[in-house]
Amino acid sequence: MAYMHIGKDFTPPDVPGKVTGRIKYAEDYTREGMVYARLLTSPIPHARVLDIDASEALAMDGVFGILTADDVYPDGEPQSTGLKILTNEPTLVGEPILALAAVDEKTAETAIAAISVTFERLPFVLDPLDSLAEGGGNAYPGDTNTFVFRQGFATEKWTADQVASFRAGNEPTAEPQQTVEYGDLEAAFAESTYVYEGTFTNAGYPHMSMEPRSALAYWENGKLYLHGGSQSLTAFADGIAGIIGVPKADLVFINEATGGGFGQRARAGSVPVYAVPAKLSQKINRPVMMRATREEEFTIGGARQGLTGWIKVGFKPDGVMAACDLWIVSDNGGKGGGADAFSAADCISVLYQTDAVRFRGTAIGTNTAHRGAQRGPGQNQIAPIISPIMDVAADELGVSRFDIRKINTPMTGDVGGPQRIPFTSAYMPEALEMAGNNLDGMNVNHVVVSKTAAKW
Amino acid sequence: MNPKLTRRRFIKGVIASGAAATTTAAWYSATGQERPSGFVERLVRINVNGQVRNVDVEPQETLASTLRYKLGLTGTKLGCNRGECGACTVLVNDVPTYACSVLTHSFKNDRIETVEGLESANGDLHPVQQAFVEELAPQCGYCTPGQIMSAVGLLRENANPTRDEARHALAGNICRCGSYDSYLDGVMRAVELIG
Repeated sequence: MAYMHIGKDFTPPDVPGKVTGRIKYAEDYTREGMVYARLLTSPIPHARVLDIDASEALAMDGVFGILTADDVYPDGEPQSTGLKILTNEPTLVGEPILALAAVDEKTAETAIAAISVTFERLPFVLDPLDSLAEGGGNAYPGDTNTFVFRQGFATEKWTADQVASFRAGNEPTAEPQQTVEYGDLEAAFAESTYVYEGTFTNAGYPHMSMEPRSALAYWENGKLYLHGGSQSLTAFADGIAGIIGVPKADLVFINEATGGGFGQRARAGSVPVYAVPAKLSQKINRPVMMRATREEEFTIGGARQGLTGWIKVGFKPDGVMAACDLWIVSDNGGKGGGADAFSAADCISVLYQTDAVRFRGTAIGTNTAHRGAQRGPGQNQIAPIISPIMDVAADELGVSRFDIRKINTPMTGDVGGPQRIPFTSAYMPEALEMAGNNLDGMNVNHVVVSKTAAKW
Repeated sequence: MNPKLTRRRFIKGVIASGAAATTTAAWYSATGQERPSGFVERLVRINVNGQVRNVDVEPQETLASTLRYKLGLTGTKLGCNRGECGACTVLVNDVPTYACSVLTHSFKNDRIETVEGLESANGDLHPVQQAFVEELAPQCGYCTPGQIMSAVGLLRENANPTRDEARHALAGNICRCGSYDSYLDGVMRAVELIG
């Protein structure tokens, strides 16, 4: 078979445009008569909008109109997880309440400052353990704090003693929402000569792709033309058509280049804010450019889930990881969704070929940033947790920190995860050897050590 | 109409000032009126990519806004608009400058270069651009124009930098894809291309 590119040197077609500045991202387009939209976002973490008075703003010169949640959801907001286009019940600071279009951004921002929004403040929570504790605040609508697949929003509480015990570093005693297990955990720990046990917490840091989620929209002859960034035209276009409520055949989605996505532009559900210029353009009958700010990226741009967990890992005398017992409470932020915690356990199973693994997890909402896919969801959170444990185990067992990774690494034909899926190709031992060779002259035993390991 | 402003007086004022006939400054000069306190010229002349451009610029307008939204030079990107990411880097008199954090009015007598001005008249890429293509330096590409302008600024000051010097020169340009090494490969390849 003849291949066009494999084995040949070629220049991807997008590269020349990227070095000359000719390639266009969504915000690089313009349209005759284009006006600019700005967002009014929630200044408080959990609230209900009681009233919006935009009369003064709408009377200003250069203002063309506003768009509210009532405009985009005339039948009421969907009762589901995930960001909405606009909302009357924000569950995080920075969630878009309304958008305003004006002749330029300065006018739009001046007008937005003249809008009066009356909020009813609702209890909020920033730590999932605070929400789990009886009497703690609940992040989601209807005084709920979790979302159960195929059941909807629900409320989960632990006793004060259970929360306090977990905070003190003990294995949680509450019933988890999810349990996944393979192998004989008890037997594997019995085989272990070194067992590590401890707790961990990491933050859910945001994606921050270089290009903000700006978008330009206009309507011509019944068709919507939408310029935006995505990670896949085919996967994205149908989804955003559904969010906007336009037939797929009537949407022209234009995406020449995307300034980073990292999982946040894979699905339209992560970027419903693209519907703002589309809906606003339809309402005021002008092309609308909505330029998102870096500040907005921090709130609606998405972040990984933060994980708070308890972990117990057993190693055999030769350094083989025999057992891993992992209990995670994940911080699912203000909009819910995501399964990073299980992916973390899956990652340990895959990367270290553990004989037996048990994962238990509970996902709780907080009134913090929207969470979503980010390259390596779960895997990246657990890496800085498990790597120092490998180092400690190596030191305790008298195995080099380099060798303990080679001993446990997957190879072609090995299996991973609870479904024991085989790997068709895995060359980690070779990769580690190459890394060791390239670090010739340095003490590999110490080079491999992660920065956090030394005195962990 | 202001009784002091006659056509003859206006033209004389323009000739005397040597300014473009359409500038507000010329109007005040022609009419003999004092400029009001806080007066800032709106129509300014800036030198961009070797061309003198007359642009209507607001007093608080940043150079990035002028380049992108008034002159259509969208190769200069806005990543953070607060002087942190470097996507808006341009050269001002050969010095890499964050265009989002400086006012256009500050550069009426300076030489501004953007990524669009690097190609030669016959379409040949600048050696840094060519090197970045050969090393496939960009991923998403959004930071690439800024990386290129920082690299060009470095090579004009130091034609034979070490990799560490290049790393230092590009330290103000964030790449969230993590293509830093590829960009450094590009800079070192550019050194070879320039010879």
